[in-house]
Amino acid sequence: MSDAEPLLSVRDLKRHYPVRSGILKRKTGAVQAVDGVSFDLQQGETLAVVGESGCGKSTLAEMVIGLDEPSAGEIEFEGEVIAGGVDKAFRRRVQMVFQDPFSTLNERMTVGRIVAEPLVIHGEREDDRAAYVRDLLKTVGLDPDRDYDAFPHELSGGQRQRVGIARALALDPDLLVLDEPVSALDVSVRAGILELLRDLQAERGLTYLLISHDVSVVRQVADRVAVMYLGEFVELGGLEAVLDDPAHPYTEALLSSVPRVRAEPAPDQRIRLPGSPPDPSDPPSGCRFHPRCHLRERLDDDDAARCVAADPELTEREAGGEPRPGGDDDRTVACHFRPGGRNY
Amino acid sequence: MADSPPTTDAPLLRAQNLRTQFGRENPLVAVDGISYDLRAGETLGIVGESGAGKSVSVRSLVGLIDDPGEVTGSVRWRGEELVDASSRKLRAVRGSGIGMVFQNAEAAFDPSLTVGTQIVEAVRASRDLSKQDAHEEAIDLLVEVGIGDPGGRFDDYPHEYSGGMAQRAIIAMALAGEPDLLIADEPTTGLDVSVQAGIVDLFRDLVAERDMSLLLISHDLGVVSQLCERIAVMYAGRIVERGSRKQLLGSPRHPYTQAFLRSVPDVDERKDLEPIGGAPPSLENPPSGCRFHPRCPVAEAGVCDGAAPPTVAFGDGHEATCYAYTDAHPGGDDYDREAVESIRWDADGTEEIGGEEEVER
Repeated sequence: MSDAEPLLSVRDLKRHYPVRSGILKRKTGAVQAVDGVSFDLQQGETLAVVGESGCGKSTLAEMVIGLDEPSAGEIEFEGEVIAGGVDKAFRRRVQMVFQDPFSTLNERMTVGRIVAEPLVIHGEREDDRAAYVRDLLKTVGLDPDRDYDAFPHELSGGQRQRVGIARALALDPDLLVLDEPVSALDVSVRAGILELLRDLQAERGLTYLLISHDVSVVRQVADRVAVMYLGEFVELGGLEAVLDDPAHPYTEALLSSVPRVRAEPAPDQRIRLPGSPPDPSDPPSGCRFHPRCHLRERLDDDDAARCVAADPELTEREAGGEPRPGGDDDRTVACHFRPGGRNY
Repeated sequence: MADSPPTTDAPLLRAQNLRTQFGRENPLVAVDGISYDLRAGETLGIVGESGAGKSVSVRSLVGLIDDPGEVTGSVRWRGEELVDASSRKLRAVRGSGIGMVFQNAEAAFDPSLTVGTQIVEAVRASRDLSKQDAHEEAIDLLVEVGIGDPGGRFDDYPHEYSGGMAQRAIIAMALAGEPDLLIADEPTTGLDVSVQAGIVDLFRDLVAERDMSLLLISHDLGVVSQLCERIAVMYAGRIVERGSRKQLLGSPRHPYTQAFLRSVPDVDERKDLEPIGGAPPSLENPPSGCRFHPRCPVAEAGVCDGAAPPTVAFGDGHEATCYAYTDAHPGGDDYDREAVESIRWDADGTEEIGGEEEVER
């Protein structure tokens, strides 16, 4: 990455929801949905945040878009601190594409009106609005003559998601937050939407923050990947580094769990994670992954105790550590023992 | 088409020309004449996209189609006809011979009763056991499906189970009648991959240990390829290709199967994704001839849009319903070798299978 100022910079972002109990509804704890996440996003790149349900990735996206307010931490856009995400100028430059094209479009509006809606709200393009919307429909692969006056129920899932993308593009934003943009779609349709997102980025220099549980989708579009577990990033780095040579034990387990399409039975190399993700209102001490970690079995007692006692920070490879075959990269890992550290 | 088995090896389940339609005047034909056999211990996966008719087809097998749905054709379970069988008989078959696992826990469990109570009921409905014995059997089932602390979880209500645990409990319920066939409809859809991996392991173990047959419905080729020896591909209500896992994934023949495989994103490698152009057809007014022809890269006007396409056998049970491999197609015999080869799954990393004779099981 260049030394240019990042488009978006997130610093130690936290979102804790109070847990109240008893008849007086006293605050008795906090769900740590997002607990200290930091990253930079450069103009024109795609950062994917991947993780399983409840890891906090959607809460993170909502804070970036201004739909949820951080409990702590800062979001900077082009070097300016965004206060609560309510700034109108900021909101038009950051748009969101939602997961479910079946519930996020107003069924009573025509496609033309849905896509024009953000322009109406911001009082933009009053003179050539219809022509501009028709162009946008073309840009996302829809046919304005057929689709402009159509209602959402007349469209297929893929076409509806294209409408959602056109709406997000209406205000010519810089950053698109893509929240599971193809999860609700059939695979043959999914491929078309992913291609469209790649093309739009190339043509318009868009920056993407992609939220996904699906590593195979991440593989197709991301430049960098952050792996999230229980409110924290456990690994952050270049796409190939993280996916081809995962360093954090959770990344390793997650990748190994994805069912591959195989014509012949292949040797089973899956790492099985015991148990379920722990309760985010009562996360484990130290490294939050330690109760389920397969690496820990191989540690000696002193090292294993360290995982329980101290929460590892995202750090670069320690000097003197065993060089990993992924080569040099800007990857950071939140594990006491990987990469480098010791030879486990 | 269907193998003609020696009498000693009759199929457990035989579906012949199964057809399910909804409505009379302008019928929606969700399943349009599908046939297959399933023998003891076999694992068959049915793949396809939404609207292909996968779920309706398995519900049709066991009498789970409500009015105004109408099922015709034949379904023989151990030789006995199930289409038009009494609801009592169908319930009995579902309670013991065939276990069903559906995607959502809400449909499988009564939210007002504990999970344990419901499994005990399912055990007693199909087996003549005392309450005490049924209770022990239910605990054993919870252990078998991998629920830790089964004694403690027995008295929990369905909503107290996590997604993965609930799915395991549904499987325990499906096993209550000691079925010979497990029908699983999208059993891992909506689960996180690490949870999904555990459920896939569980199915594999159950099939091996109980010597059960498995009929798995999924849109996820990865899951199907991990569990099923045989695969059938459905498109717009029909089976368009079937074969062993190796045949179907290694040398797919039907242009739809080929296109479908090309559109699947690979977790290990970035590739140019090739969406299938157009959209799946309406089942109320399906295209004439081959239903894939409006989206097919090798469709031939005057052939593929005419009569229903023939089923071509490639040996060892590998079949595709497609004109491209017949003389009716202008490419004729050469077509098979050239045009279709060129659009074939280029099988990176997968073994290329040459002539039909060499196809192995």
